[in-house]
Amino acid sequence: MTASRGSPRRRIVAALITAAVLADVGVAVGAAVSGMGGSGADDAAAARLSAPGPRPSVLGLTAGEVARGAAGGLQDPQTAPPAVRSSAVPTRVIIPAISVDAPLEILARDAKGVLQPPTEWADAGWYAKGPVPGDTGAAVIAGHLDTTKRAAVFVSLRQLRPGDRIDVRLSDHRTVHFTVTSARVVKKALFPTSDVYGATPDPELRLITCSEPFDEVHGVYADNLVVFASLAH
Amino acid sequence: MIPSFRPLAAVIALLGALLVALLPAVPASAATPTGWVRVAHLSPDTKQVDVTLSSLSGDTVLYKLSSVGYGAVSPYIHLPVGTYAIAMVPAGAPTGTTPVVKASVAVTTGRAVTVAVMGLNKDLQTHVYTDVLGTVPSGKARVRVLQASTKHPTVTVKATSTTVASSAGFASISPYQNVQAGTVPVTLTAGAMTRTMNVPLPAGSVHTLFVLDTASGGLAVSAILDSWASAVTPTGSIDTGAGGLAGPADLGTLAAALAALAAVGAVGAGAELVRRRPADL
Repeated sequence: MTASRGSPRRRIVAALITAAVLADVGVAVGAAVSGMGGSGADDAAAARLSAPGPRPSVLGLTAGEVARGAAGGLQDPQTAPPAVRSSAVPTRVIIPAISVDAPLEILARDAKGVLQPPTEWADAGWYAKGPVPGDTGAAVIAGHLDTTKRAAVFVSLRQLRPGDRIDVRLSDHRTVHFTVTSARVVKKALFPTSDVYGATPDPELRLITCSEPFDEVHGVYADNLVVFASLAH
Repeated sequence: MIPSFRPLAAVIALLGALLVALLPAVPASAATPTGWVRVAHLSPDTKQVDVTLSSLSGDTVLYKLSSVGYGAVSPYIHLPVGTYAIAMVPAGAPTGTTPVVKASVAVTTGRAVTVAVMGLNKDLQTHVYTDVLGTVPSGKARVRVLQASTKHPTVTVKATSTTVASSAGFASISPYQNVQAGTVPVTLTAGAMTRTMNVPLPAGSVHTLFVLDTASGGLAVSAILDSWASAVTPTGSIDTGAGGLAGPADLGTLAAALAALAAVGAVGAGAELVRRRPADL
């Protein structure tokens, strides 16, 4: 993961060091520690701090049991730290392949529940009731294709290809990197709500704009273009 | 007859040609389909293990986790669709050690699975559970129960007043239930034993409550985040365009759109468009 979380991680590391110390003096370890609860490689590294390594045979265990990693009795479990959302907000979206470097507005729904687009043609916008980019879940960023007169921020979104990079800058000075995985042009009447706003097991990003054909009668584009991206590794 | 030079037509032709050259004919295609897998150590009397995930065809280790203790659940590993081998050895065991557990797991498109190693050390079992993704109703959290206690044959789990799992047997997993988001009192009941813990379940989050043993024979619960949806789901699509670049419905390309625009004098829009589109694309 590129996103570092500062103090919670330090707390986990500290807890693991404490756990390792306690384990070494034979005291039962409390259940407030998770070595791998979803924070990636750094936590795996942290978990190693508590690894006792190969130990001499525990009294009362057969060689076979030792080979199978038997503990010789029940142990207290590690339990996960609570799931917490980042308090940062995304401030800019940068897409080098199509020369986008735009500020982000905060997007909300109207009284009917419909997501409102950014007010400025040159801005993109982040849907604030969805995940923060870099947190678990699919963050949603939308931007205009055009105004009545000119191209707008996401006019070239359709040129993105799998593997292209999308960076999102956050208010806490982090930059989260995503990689385009796919793109779909969808009828607005058949908008894939579940694929866009539904749960995902890891940090993802959706970029949305409009797509032809234009409905002259209603003055709106009939389709949306949705670009799907996952956290870059 | 020599045609007269018409600047507007030249501009239209030039911009049109430029756009045709620059615009790909098809929208971005999908990359290789992928899914997710994670690994859980749920054997209460098995010490820490090292876990490897490798491709079934060949011994290439794709992912390695060290010193995974009882109750720990790995992050989701995002992988191309296929079948993978998972092996666990005691933590720190040298390369070539016979695994304590070997299992194969199929990763399928867009699906997330949990491979759980469960039961007492002398009788380790491997179970695979599939997450349900999709949207979560506004203001709700979604939760299910995986009963992994080896000490208590059946456990009932309630989140506030919602029964999530009723007399759940070992290794059983409940369907997901929607509960009011917030800090939720979760009550475990096994025989005469009852234990209540407050579990934060934020809006849009999807959790599995792992029911685990404690060293003293009691029960513990670990709320593991499966996935996270929008806390409030917008209705339908989003209107992100006003039609300035749109062409007639029967001419679907931006080149046509621009030609139409240019014809009515909106060449500025085309210039804007070209400026924003680097020539190396």
